Amino acid sequence: MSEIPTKYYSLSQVATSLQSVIRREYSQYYWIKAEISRLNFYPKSGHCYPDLVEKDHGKVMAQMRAIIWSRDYIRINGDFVKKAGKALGDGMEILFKAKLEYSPTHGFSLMIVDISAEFVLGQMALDKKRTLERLKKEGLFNKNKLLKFPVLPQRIAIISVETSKGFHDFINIIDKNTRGYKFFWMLFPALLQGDDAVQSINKQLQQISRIHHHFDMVAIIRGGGGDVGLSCYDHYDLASEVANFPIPVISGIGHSTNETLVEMVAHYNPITPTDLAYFLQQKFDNLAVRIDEIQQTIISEANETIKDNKRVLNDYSRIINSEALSSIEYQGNRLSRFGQVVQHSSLLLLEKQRSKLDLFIYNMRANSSRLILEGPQKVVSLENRLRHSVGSVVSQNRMDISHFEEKIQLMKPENLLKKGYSLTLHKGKPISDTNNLKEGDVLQTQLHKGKIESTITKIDKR
Amino acid sequence: MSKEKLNYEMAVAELEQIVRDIEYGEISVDDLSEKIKRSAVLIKFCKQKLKSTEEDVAEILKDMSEE
Repeated sequence: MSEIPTKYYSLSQVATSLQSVIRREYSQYYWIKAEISRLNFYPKSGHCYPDLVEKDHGKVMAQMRAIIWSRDYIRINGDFVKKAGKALGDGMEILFKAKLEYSPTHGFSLMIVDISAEFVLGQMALDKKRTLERLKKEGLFNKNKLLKFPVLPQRIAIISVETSKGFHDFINIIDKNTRGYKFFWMLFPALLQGDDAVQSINKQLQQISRIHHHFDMVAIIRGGGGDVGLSCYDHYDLASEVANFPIPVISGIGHSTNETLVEMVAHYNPITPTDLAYFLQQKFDNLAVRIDEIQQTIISEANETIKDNKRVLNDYSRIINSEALSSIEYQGNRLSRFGQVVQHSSLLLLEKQRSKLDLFIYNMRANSSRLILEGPQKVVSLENRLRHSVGSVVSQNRMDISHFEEKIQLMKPENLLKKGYSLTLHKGKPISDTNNLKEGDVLQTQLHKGKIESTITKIDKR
Repeated sequence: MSKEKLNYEMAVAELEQIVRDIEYGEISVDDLSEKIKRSAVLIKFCKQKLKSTEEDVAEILKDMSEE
């Protein structure tokens, strides 16, 4: 350091010079795109000092401070909320109209006078579309809808806040229903809007998921919050959690211009908590009506069945009665016909036997009188025949006897011997042949007068 | 089917079956009185179920803390 420079500027001189250059060169308003890294809203003054940043793949390319004066902020944010359904916030990509300002005391800043809600809306719609496509691609879009809705949706896990009007509307209806239906509900408190809602609701969903066997359904109830802060329901993390939930999730988030993704993937979206309460009550009504119908049907069908059976029994009894009667009549007829036949047949038989008997008697009479008549004649004739026979037999026998006497006289041996016949004896016995005789044997011959003894000299056996 | 395990859905399903059987004449007079007795039990159960729940908050909280 040699000498003290004689010419120099004060800081304010530089600042003022810069200020005039900026004013001259950047006198217009420009539309600029940037991300709000922090909004820096000061409620007390109502001013905003957003930190703006431009990043490329996470690397900061530029950053600058901005100012939204209280008056502008009220107008801009109001318009923004109205159109985009959410307030300005950290991390938001915005398109804004601003003028480059330089203040000697505060330095550079962009004075924002307008923010395009349409741009943010477009960004949000684009994000939503991408998330919707992703949910569909991952098979999540219909997943919760495909769950079987419980027949009796009686046990409800409610995600809401104690102070929510929607929550009170809902429990008022289901707890004080005039039909006396009993619901069981349990509140799982969560933030229901804004960026923190995603994490808060998800935490409760995960809690319920662990004990979901105690519940038939989950109801996300908001209600009463207007359209602001609903973009959390388009968030992938929340929508996918709802879609993947093991039991049906019903959304009663409230009136929104566009249906959020959570409402799209929910099992059912009755929109308002009141509608949801009436929807459940209607389910119970339907069940009660059905039970009554079943009761009526069973009673009437049972009566009908009994009546039918009675009718059939009566028919049977009538048929049996008439069949019995006609059977008895038929048998009676048969019996009397049979009696007649028996009577007639026995008369016929009697008649036949009687005439047979008559014939027999007649024959017997006829025969016996003929026998009586013929008898004596026969006796006489027999007597005659006998007499005649006897007489002839006697005279015949007489003749035979005298003949025999003559023959007998002739046969006497003395008479025979007299006539010259002789009797030859051998060893004292008469012989009539040559058997037992041999030459030399001695024979005696008896004559009428005297005896001869001779010896056999020759035998002729002829 | 024991009484503890009976739930609304099963009860209604059984009732619907009884109604079908009666309507199609599948129930004989012999079985009728038994079926009617059964349906009376089921109807009573269903009607009661609509107007009462057995859920116990203490039990849920216990389950929640155990997880």
